[in-house]
Amino acid sequence: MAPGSLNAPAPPIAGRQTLRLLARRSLSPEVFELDLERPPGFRFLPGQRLRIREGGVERDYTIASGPGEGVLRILVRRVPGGSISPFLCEAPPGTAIAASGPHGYFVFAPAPRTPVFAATGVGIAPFRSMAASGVRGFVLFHGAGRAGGLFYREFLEPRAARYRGCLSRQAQPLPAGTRPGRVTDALREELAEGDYDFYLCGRGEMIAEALQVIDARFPRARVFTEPFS
Amino acid sequence: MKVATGSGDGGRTSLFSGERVLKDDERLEASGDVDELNAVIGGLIAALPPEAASCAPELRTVQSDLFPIGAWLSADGSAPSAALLPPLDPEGTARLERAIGRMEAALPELRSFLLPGGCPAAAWAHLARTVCRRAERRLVRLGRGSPGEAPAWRREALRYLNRLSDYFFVLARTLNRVAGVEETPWRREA
Repeated sequence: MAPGSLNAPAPPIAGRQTLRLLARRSLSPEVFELDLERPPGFRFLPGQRLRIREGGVERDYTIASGPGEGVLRILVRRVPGGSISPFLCEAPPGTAIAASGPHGYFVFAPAPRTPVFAATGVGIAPFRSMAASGVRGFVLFHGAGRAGGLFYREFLEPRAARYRGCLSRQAQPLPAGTRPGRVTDALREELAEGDYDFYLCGRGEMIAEALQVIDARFPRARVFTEPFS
Repeated sequence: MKVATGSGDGGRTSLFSGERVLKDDERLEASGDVDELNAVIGGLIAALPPEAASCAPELRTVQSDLFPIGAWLSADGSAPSAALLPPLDPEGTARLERAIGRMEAALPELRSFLLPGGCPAAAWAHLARTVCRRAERRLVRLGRGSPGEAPAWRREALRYLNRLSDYFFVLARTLNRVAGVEETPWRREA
């Protein structure tokens, strides 16, 4: 559960880079997985972000690939009229993309307590990276509207001690391993008493609600959050 | 970055190292003092007279110096995220010492206590000095609960805050001199 690479000294801030877009795959009608060239010597910790700059605007995207993988993979939700996502979702392979990084502090802290990951939508990216780096034994509450939005389920479920998809808009019957409702419902109803480290990545509203549940049920827990809008 | 998430409405917040604490936790009190100091410096910069506008870049550097101190106050040194925090650079303290020396060289010798005040910018500098001292006291109190040698960040933060309050005292005198406002010495009988 505690790979040595996570205890490595702070990696250098790589500064500005120009990364070539290698490939793009559609994971759903709105979400794309992009593989970007990984510059030689670029190091990061699982959970850290790339900051992409286009047209004078910057947006952060958490790296979904592991530190041992040869590409930098990010998930992009296409926001109609957005400043950067339409560009990323349409740029042809080979496009040079201005980026800096790694940024952020949402990194895994090995501990004797059970890690509980809660993610919605593209918020699954840091947990994919953590699992790729060797983190195991985690509980994952994975939220999406429908089963098709449970990105990386095939990768994460075998590596989790317990996996639960939380589907808020899926018609019955539900696929195996899932439940109706949101990740906050699962946190409220499915987690036994215990000592946990919570890692929450998703929209601010989800994180605020999850924190209310955690404060009420697990007041001694550690909580690490990575909200996005 | 969204400012209002509502996640602290229950009176709790997360430290940088993940602990959920009540908002009156002593580490939050300390980082709150550093935050308050930073805001007071913002007031000081806004109050600088045109003839002292050259002080603004130095004060903004001080404001930037305070951010990592606030982050360290909220971190448990054993957390991997703490390894990503920038170390506190002793050059910050050295820079303050040089600035103090430069300003003192142009000031008359201090022969008595002074009443805090003078021109508006000097009054802000005195306020910054006192908030800085409070932040320093809070940091010392935090250290009492930690046995053994203080971590490097705390030793450097103490040096920096100690020097910074001296800096604000000398800056207040300098601002009064530049503004042509006479210093008011303390007298036993007013």
